[in-house]
Amino acid sequence: MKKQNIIAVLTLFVFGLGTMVSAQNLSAQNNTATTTVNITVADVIAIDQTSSAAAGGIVNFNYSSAEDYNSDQTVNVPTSLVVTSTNTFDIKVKADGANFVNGTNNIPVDVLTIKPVMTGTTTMTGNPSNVVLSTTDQTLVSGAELGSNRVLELDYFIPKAKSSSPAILGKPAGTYTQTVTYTATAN
Amino acid sequence: MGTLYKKQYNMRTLFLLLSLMVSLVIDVTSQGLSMSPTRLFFSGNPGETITQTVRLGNSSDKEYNLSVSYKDWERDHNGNKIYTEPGTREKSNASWVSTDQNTIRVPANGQKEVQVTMQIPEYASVSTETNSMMFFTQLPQQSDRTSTSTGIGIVTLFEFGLHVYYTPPANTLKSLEITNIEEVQGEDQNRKVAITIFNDGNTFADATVEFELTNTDSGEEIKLKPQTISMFPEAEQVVQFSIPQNISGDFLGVTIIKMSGTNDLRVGEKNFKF
Repeated sequence: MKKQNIIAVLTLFVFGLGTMVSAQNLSAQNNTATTTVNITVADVIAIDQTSSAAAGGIVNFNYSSAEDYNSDQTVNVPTSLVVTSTNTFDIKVKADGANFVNGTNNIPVDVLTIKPVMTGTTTMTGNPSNVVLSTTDQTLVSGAELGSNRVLELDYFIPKAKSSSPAILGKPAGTYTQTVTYTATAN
Repeated sequence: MGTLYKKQYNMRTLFLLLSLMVSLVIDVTSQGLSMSPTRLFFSGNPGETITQTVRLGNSSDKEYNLSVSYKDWERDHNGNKIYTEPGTREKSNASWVSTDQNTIRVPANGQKEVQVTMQIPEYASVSTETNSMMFFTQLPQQSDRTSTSTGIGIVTLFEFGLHVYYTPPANTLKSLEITNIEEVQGEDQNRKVAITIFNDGNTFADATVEFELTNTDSGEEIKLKPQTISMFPEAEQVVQFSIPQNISGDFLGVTIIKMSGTNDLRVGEKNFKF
């Protein structure tokens, strides 16, 4: 991309020099110069993956004590997604499988709720929705306004009702893993 | 002297414009992993094959691998996208579309061009628009592993959705109609004005919907934030505007729909008592 930038900048510079030379030649004759400047605006959507925790990020919940099982747990990720878009856009979320998996043992993904936090670091606008995770694409934020570096802060939430139930409680010890994918599309 | 001034002025203007262009280029391309464009519009006759290019850029120091997949989709009454498996909708073109690569490696600080080809089947309708969504999904890498020893680990990845539309060449009529304007109570119990719009044209239509209230006694005008919509032919959508809670009296509500690609406007109005 840097190469592309450099090429683009050099192209513009050469174009600029050419235009200026032409302008000087014209000026020598008429003392005025005109030029046509075309600005091509590309339709782009981008995720800043160095800032977005959701780009290869990891969120962990630990259940290692009785207190852990008997309390709501929230993991806050201040900059989950940082999106730049030239159009109104939507963010959807889905799990890649029905369960968090540890070998042959499973915990259903619907123990987890993902909540947009529309205060704090969030600068993304639009209509937020809390999502109980499933394999279906569900809308997390709809109609987000176009803009540069729009930040979305998320709370990952597992309620006590789930962690103290057989969905989690009593499962063999180990790490239960699943992939969660965030989808950004133009509206 | 006057002539010299004019000459310098023109040169300065050129420099300013060039600087502006350079800064625009840098700004647009310095945003991590990017996809451009975000929507592809194909048009052609049955039997034709058309190819367009999508650019995936990566300005980070990490290489990304993306998989390609497809889904059908439509919009609900509020304009939200509803996805279904490819080929499940009557107006799906997911099976018409292919790419020159199934897995795309986007190098660090580089970009990749993907050729998207639509093969319009012989049986394609010459009057029906079709659509699908193509996804470029981040593939997990070795480093994307959870570290918790006892508990739940969530690996988060991202993907881009690329709209893919097919429009038969004869379909050129852009037309949205306002079919209803009414006051409703939103899920948040706040007052809203709901505007129902129907696409009675035969092509996809992007538009901006504006809504303005004028107090018929005082003349006070309240302009609400415009909303953008994108509608399929024969689709109906409801656009809601939240009414400020602190207003009361008699108001005239006026909505204006500005369709992109045409100078046509649609205007609707209704009296309200808040």
